[in-house]
Amino acid sequence: MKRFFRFLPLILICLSLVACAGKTTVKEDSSTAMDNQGDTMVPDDEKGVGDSGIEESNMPGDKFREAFVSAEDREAATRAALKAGLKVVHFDFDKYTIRDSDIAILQADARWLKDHPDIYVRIEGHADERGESEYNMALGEKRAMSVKRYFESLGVSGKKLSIISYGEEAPVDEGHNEEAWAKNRRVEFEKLR
Amino acid sequence: MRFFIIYALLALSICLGAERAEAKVYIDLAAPSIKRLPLAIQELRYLGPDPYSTQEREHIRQTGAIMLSTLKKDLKFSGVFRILPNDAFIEEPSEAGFDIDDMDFKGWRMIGADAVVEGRFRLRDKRLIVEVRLFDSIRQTMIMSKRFIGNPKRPERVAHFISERLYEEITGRKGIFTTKLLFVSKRTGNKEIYLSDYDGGHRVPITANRSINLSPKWAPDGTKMIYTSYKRGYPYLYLFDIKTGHDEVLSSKRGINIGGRFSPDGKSIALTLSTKKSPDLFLLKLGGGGYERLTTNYGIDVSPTWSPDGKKLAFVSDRSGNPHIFVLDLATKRTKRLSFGGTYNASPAWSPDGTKIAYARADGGSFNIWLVDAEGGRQVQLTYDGNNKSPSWSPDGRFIIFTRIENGTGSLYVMQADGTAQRQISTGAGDISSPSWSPFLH
Repeated sequence: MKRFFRFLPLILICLSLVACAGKTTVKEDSSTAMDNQGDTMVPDDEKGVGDSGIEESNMPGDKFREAFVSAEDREAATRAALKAGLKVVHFDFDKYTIRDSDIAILQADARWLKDHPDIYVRIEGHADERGESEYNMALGEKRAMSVKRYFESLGVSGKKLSIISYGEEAPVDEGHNEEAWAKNRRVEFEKLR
Repeated sequence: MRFFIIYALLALSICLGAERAEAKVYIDLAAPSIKRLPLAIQELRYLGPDPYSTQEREHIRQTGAIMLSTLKKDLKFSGVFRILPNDAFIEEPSEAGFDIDDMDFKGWRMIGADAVVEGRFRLRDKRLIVEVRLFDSIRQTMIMSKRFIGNPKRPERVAHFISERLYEEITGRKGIFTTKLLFVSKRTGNKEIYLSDYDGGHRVPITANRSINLSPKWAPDGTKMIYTSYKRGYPYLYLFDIKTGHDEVLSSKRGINIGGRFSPDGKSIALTLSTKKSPDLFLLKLGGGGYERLTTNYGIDVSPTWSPDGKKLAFVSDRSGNPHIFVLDLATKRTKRLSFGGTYNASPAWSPDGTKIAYARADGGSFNIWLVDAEGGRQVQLTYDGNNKSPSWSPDGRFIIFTRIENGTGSLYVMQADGTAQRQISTGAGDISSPSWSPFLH
């Protein structure tokens, strides 16, 4: 036993050196042979994108593309709605309360809707480009909701009315100034049938 | 017995000493000020067979040049190296050392290089094989010796992986050179989503549906992303698998399905839905768990961002009049206001270490990026010039990417998290918005 203790330190040193060597990931040898264990395989970029990953999801009959590809198309849609008897209303920056000056317009719009019980409309809320896109999406939704609720308070059936928000994504005026922004903060209507 | 203790201590100290030498950190990123490490990166030598045509010779030259410039750009980007100009090198690239005995350490120290990268490459069997060594010219030791094998069509990608290893070796931390970006660009006239390397390179389209695609955000494992799209007419939330290209609807409630953000555990998604009254925050539990309402008020609640521990959400609400940043504790349901200045506060982004929230704040006119302590209190302005929005943190928390809008057109900018070293990220795509920095991918 005494003998064992005499050799124990030596055994321990050997063991610890082995343990240390095991943890060394980078060999500091000066030979030109590379350590094959340490190879880094660089994976290719994801296959899902760039090739087959590109989706083309507009189906035939999808009204979206025809109606909203460009500002020109949007203006045409607005003109058609005007012809249909519904006028666009506008909002103050970051506000979704109906302006006093627009009350008369919406009352006329509501009368027209009640006179045309077969017509269903989609109320579209929009924001100007300032601010942040997600917030503007919610702002457009709130503006459309305000108009829908006002129509309902005037006796228009809620069943005829649906809403959508385009946030800042579909301006009528592509300018970056007060005049354009004032035009873009709006609720307009699309006749569904 | 006394001998035993002495021997044991000796053995222990040998082991610890070896351990320390191996794990030496050359740059301590936690230090209050970082002294940039002077680094020399030698041209990578071609070691393969002689090229059989001038075209192949040119291809080889370009492969080496792209890798060298990518390595230099990456390591410079990190902000912790001073990359020495190659024309100051004493060592000729054609006689570059690779074995420690061949290294002219004195020469490298003479031009002020504390560390030296030497590399060589071959092109074989449609593979690019690069061997890289990192030397400490002061201690005259080799710190790293590694071989990298990748696609010869993407030498910059192989270089990003090399940068990653070099950075890790020197700082002891993970680098961001193999991370990616998602962003929205209007380059085709429609808002579509794109994926690129962290530096804007290798841009690929993810959507091409010609409707409106918004707010791409990464899943925590980096294999998927969520986004809002009008491709079916209404703003629905979609899940896109970046590896397979598979795309599916995640949320198609009546009204808006926007601002989706994965929880850190990947099991649920915080998003804004519009109920009858107003746009509110909800939790969508994946795997058929349904929706849980998180907020109820007359106003707007949007743009949630998770605390890294998954216990809190910061978001934007106009409940106090105009848009401000609030934090919701998911356990107590208690809400705390974080921003008090500015007329419009938007797009909060929680830092990866959980201590700070970056957000965009406007005081009437244009936006700037600010930082606030996650517990509230100290507010620090990071940008001053232009109109800056949509901050997104790098996964190591050292950088923030954001959009700068000039004349109505957005471009990508990046800065260190203290607001220094602001620079543009070139993706080759125009009018960019909503950048989202990936988690660590490799």
